[in-house]
Amino acid sequence: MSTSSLAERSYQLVGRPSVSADWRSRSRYHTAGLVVAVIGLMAVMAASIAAFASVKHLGSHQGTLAWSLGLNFLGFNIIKLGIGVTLMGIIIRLWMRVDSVKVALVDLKASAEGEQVRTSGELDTPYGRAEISEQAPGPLWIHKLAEYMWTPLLVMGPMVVAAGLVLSIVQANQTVGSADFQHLGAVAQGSSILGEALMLSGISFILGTILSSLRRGGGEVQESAGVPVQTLKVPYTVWAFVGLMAVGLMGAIATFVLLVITTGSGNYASWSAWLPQASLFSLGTLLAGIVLALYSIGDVLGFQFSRIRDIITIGR
Amino acid sequence: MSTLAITNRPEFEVETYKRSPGYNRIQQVARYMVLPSFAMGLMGLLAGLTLGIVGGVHIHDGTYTAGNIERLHQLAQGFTIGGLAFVLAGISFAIARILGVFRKGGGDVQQAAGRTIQILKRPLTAWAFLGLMMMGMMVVLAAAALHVIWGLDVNTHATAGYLTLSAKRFTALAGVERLGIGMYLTGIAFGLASILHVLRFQAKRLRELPSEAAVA
Repeated sequence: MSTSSLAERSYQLVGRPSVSADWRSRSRYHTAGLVVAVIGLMAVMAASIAAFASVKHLGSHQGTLAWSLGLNFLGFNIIKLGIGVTLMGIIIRLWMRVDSVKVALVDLKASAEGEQVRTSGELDTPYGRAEISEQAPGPLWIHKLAEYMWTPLLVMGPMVVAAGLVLSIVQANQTVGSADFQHLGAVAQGSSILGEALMLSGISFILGTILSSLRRGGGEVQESAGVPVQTLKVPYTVWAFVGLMAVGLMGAIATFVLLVITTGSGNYASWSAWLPQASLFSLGTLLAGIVLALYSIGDVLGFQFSRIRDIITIGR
Repeated sequence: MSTLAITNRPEFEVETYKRSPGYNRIQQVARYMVLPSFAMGLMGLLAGLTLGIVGGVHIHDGTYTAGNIERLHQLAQGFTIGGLAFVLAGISFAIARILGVFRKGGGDVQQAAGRTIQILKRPLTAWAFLGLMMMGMMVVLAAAALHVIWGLDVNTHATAGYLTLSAKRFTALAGVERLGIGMYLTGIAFGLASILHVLRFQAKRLRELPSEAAVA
């Protein structure tokens, strides 16, 4: 595979670095990600302190509660942005590691002896079923989708959450209990939830891109070592991850729409009893998908380490 | 499998081993806790959503007293937040599991190559990850438990004064749980930064292996 940057071929903010990239250098993404995350935590702390201060005079401090909620969501979003920046650094470093493995295996690979090895078909491994091929496999449609989608979602998420914060500040300046106060509150809350969901979807797609890099990088290493290419088949945890992500994002969009259209209705009290729970359920579902994506990454990495060990010890 | 020496290298602090050290204790726990946390999280979220819908239906029908509605409100939030705490714990455990795979896999590859086994010492970011995750978990689970306890405390025929007290408790707990979630998320950022650090170390270590003398 050409070493041209993936970023040039898709709309990703970052992609595969060139082979001449300095693998010794410190990662800018490491520091930047942590700084952004800590700034986000400070915003969350400030919002929580404002919420505590309003508790004693709950009736007259509804305005403070309104903007503190908006600030809270913005803080969460900034932390997630820090997570996204760190994941971008991981994509770059994974490719540098692929180049390092290729360089090392030239000398470390054992000379293969014994019977002819299979170059097609499937086999069972401790990490799941794997496919055997002569060449590195290309990306699946889901990998291509992830590579194209993560950047726009990561950009849209903070914009929608910032809009939610602005609306909550406008709400805080309305008369408490008025129709405008209620309506603005519903739209602000819906925007914040939608922005969080977009951001979590962006993070999910970065994780999908990492899985794609692992698949291609693993194949590339084996092909360059001159051994049959073994690639794990897409595990059930990845399909569950995709399903949970879709449910979470659609749920957040539906909650946003319902919050906006029911706020002026006579039944708003009954809707507002469960819509906040539905919005948290949507975000929780997205996070649950992320658990499975990380679990799958752990499995793929385990498989790749065992494959490198085999190439070093038995040469195939 | 004992540690031979602790070396201070310019950029990476490493421990050297005779044999691949495998997972450490925290990583072992994390390996077994990912999927149970995931399942408990989803169950909590579903329970919270169900209680919320029940409350909404009864408000619509006008069949419940204000006390009953408030009780369901508190319970729904308690279960939902508890569910979120477990899902976030699942993410943290999955990150620790990945760090374990790097530790075990890195050691196994060096052992297979017959070279000195160097394992990165736990970086500061990993300590921060552990600390923030534990604080976040305790804070969010305490808030969830208090929602449930105070929710069960609301009487069917609660007075207006008691309902105001319950609303104040709900608002205070909302602040607490958001703070806890913020800690959790920041911990996750530190955990991922640790993975980034390990990747950089492994890229370097792999290139060193061919030029190193094999050990007996």
